[in-house]
Order: sequence, then structure tokens, then C-alpha cells
Amino acid sequence: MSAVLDIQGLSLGVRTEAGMAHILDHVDLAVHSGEIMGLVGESGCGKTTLARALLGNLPESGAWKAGGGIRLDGEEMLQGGSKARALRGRVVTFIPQDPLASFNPLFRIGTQIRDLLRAKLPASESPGGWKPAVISMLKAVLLPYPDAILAAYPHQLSTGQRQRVMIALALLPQPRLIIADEPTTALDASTQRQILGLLRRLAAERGAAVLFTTHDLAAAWEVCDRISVMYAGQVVEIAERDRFFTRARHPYSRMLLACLEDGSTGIPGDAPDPHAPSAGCRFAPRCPNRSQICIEARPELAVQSDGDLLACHHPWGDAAAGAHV
Amino acid sequence: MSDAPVSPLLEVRLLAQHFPVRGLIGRQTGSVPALDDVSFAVQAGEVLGIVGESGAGKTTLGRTLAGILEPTRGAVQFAGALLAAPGIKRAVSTRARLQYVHQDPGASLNPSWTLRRALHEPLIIHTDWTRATRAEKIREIIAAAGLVESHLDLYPHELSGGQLRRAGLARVLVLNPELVILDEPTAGLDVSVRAMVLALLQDLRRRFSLTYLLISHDLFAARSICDRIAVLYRGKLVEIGPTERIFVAPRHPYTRALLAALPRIGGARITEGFAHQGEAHAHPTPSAGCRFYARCPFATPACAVDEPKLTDDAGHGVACFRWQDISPIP
Repeated sequence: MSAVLDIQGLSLGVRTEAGMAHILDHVDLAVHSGEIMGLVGESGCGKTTLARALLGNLPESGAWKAGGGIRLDGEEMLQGGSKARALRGRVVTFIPQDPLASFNPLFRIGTQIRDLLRAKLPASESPGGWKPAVISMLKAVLLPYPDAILAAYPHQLSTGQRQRVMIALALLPQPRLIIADEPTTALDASTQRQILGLLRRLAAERGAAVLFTTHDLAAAWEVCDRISVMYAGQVVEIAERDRFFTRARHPYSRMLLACLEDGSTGIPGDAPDPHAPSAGCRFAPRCPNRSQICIEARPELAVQSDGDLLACHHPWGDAAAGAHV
Repeated sequence: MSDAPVSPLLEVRLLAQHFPVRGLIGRQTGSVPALDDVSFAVQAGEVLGIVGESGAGKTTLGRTLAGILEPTRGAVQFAGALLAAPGIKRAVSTRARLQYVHQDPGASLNPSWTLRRALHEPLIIHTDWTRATRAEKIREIIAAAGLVESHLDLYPHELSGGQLRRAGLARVLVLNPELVILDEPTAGLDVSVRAMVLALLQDLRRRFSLTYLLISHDLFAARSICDRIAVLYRGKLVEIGPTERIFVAPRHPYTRALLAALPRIGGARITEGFAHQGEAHAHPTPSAGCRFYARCPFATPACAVDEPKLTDDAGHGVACFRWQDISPIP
């Protein structure tokens, strides 16, 4: 099984008033066809920057690439310009966190879908030719009365309905990769369940790769096949779902999972300043297992015996851990 | 909570909030019942959670109690005095004692004010303290909320998400409120900040003997800090009881459905064997009968005729005709 999305050694920075912010540092990530990859980590760890890089949507003037690349079905995404624009919205699509902000409130849903398809899939253009495909897709995302949905304005739909329209739109061009950016954060439990079930079924049926960004570890448990954990722009662990939740190796993964327990007070300390990254592991200042080597040398993301990936000098349960602090 | 029968801090009786629907020339053509005949009581020192799906009336309830909305019917008693009823204007003095914490405290801080100015403002409005007294109170609250004094000179955009939550809570606590209404305090937070916020809420409650009304669709957050939970469905209170009873032995079919929709780490995937469950807003509010009738797997024809009343069975009330016939969750 070859990877649909293959990110290797990606380092990205953004120019800010305070100097260069090193947002992503040597990110390695591969997502396969039909797989849902969870991407978890604290706010500000680089999840959104990564998603924007995948969409070829980073500001051309402010962003700065230090190395590495993103290959989507073999095509390089980071070259920007018209090539990336051609892939965006067709080969890779995006499900936003807040669908209300992504629709124009003044136009009917149907009008907006038609205009989008004219821009992105000109081949399908014939008067009214876009409609049957859209209607069957709306049915596939379990929206009853698709004709009424197309004639409605965004505010007339419920949050769950809007999110399902967004999912239908993201699936319409038959993309190879779908980036779902916290698609269920704003939804209540019963609507979340429907949306998660839908994502899972559609990924399996249509063979699309899904990169699922979330804060909600229970939602990640529900839909993901593998989980990757990011901390301050570095991928620290990529593990198969069951192993992540039962035997996570990276201390940060462990501490993240411990936040769900009663009486937890969160992870002590703050995320490091992206303007002055350390040469070593970025989690070291908050890590109970750190030693001198963690501060000096960045651990490589290495394949473990069970196929999971880990970047840590002192994994959880390692006897030598913490001895030098 | 004491064992002697004391009068509750907050008592809500048959509260209703109907929003008018207006037609073409502003004539009222109908009304949306956002809350209907909701009754419950909150004891001093207690944490009551209000849960339910979007549109259940959770926020309307919070806003009515906070005095932002005037109720259509019913009455709210607060510390023995009438707080809200149709046509009642709220005394300014009660505003300080009952505080409302918005979902995103960062958005409720003035972006061009330092934190110091934002914290002085409520004290200037509600007290006649000198500047020095105010500063001392602010120092005490800032420390309790886990901030340091240098934060006082920062603007909201210079604080992190977790610090903003702390600042929002500090701003409410300087007035020494008795009841704090928390509207979705954990929405949109990452797990680490969420755990921090929940621990902070617990700590502040003990320190300042606060009473909380927690409005949330985050059932895990509700479980971790609430003493009791009230479940709202389309403006009706369908179940209320001790937190553990609600989670372990829920009685109302809606509560059961809500809990079944929660993904549980380590459990089976709930979306496997996924079926369309229907949506609250797909059906209009029925004029008679149980509001959950159209979605209820246990409904009988009788459920469409009469509306069940909330029972009070040893502190665990449920508004359902059939709850005793439904087998308990294994």
C-alpha cells in the first residue's frame, strides 16, 4: 500500500515582527489510502500550519520553507503557484471547523455549490449537469430532502446539517486526501456521532485518506486508524490506535492521555517559544524523563519493533529515564 | 451540603421562555418555546450541570437566570428574594452576587484595556472602595486564579488561551459572587488546558465557597465536577439527579441516547452499525404529548397524547411514562 500523502523532513517558518517563528520542524508523516490518521496536540503545535501547507495555502510572502517536501500522490505540493491551485479542491479537500463561516450567508447553498463546481471541475459543466451528482452526494451524507437543502440559505440549516453539506462538498471531487480540521468540535454528542460515523464509512468506501485534526481524544479513538502526536512543531509519536491509547511510548503522549483522568491539572509548563527553538527535543523542559542528551540532541523519529514511530531518547517505562535530571 | 432542610440558594419555578416569531409586517405569527415549565433548585455550595444537545435551551436558561432575558412565565428565587419573573426589574445589587461567565472569556475582555483595568472596572461599578482596597482584592483573586501580578499589565492578546480563561474567572470573582453560571467553560479547549480549567474551577469553588451552574455539552466535564445533573430536551427538563445515577443508571430514553452517543476510549466503536438517529429540529415541537416521542424507541401511543410530568423519586426525577418498563443498561 503506497502512501497517498507523504511528508518528509518538512520544516516551515513564518516571518513575524519578533523574528522568524519556526513552526514545523522536520515533520515526517505518511497517510495511506482509506486510512484515517488522527493528528493531536495542544493549541499552537503547528496542526493548522501543516494543514495549510498541505492545501498549498500558505502566504507566499510570509512563509519560508527550510527543507523537506510534501508529496501528494507523487506530486510535489509545496511549489505553490498555479500547480498547487490546480490540486487544491480536487485532489486534496478541506472540512473546516466552523462551516457557517465558510458559506456566504447571502447565497443559497445550491448556488454556492454550483459556483464552486464551475471553478473547480469545469468538465462537469452543462446546464443543470452538476445537480444529480450533488444530490446523490447529499444523500450519501444522510441529508434527507436534498432539494430543500440546495434551496436553503446557510442560516436555515442546523449546525449538523451544515457540517454534512461541507463533508459532501469535500467528497464531491473524489479527492485522494481530505483534511478534516476539528470537524466535530462545535457539535453536541448525538450530532458528533453521526458526523464521525459518516467520515469513517466514507473513508473506507471511497478509499480517501483522511487527516483528522482534533483536541478530542475520545473522538480520535472513535474514528482513527493511527494517531500522530505533534508537540511544538515536531512529530513525537505515530502509533496504531489501540497501542496509542494503551501503550503510548512518548512521555508527552502519556501526559496528554493522563489529562483525561479525574483530578488531572493539565500538563505543567508552557509550550516553548517558536522564535528560539532549542537544538534538542522541544518537549524536554516539561518532560519528567529528560536528561542532558534531550537538551543537546533532537531525537529522530524511528521505527519501533511493532511498526510504530517514536522520537524520544527516554521512552515511557525506560529504566534509565529521569536518572540524570 | 448540610443535612438540615435549608432553603435553596436558587429556586426556579415553572420557568418558560418563548421567543416570538414575527411575520411580514412585524406581526407575531407564533412563538418558539425555548424553555417550558422548567423547575429545579440549587443548594448553596452545589454544582449543578445542565446538559442537552444544541438547541435544547441550555443557554437560554443561563441567560434568563443571568437577567439578560426576561422570562415569559414562571419565577426565579435567589437567596430568598424574587430574582426574575415577568415584568420584574432586577435590582443592581443582585448582579454582583450572581455572575455569568461567557464561553470565551477572551472575547468578553476589552482588547484595548490591560487586565488591571478590566479587573478594576467591576469593582468601580459595584463598590465604593478606594483604589488601594481594590488593588488588594485584585491581588488576592489573581493569585487564586493562578496568575501573577505581572500579568496585570498585559493586554488580552498577550495572554495564552489558558491564561485568558483564568483572567475571565478572576474578573467574575472579584465581586465575591455566590452563584456563578458557567456557559460551556471547556468548549474548544485542548485536553491539557481543559484539565487545568476543570481543576481551577474545583479549587476556586472550595476556596470561595461558590455555587456553580455549569452549562455544557461536554458530558465528561459535567461528570468530573458536578454534584447533580439536569438534562434538557427541547426546552423541557426530562431528568435530574445525582451525577453518578445519571451516568450509571439513566432513566429517560433521551438521557440514554445521549450517553450512548459518547465515544469511550477503550470501548467498542459506537459508530459501527451506524444508523441515522434523527435530529431534534427535523420534527416541529409537538403541541401535545412527550417532546421526545418522534425519536423515542420506547414510545407508545399514550406518549403522544399526554406530556409526562417530572417525578421526584428520592432526588432522581424523570419525565417519562415508560422509564420503569425499560430494562436498565447492562
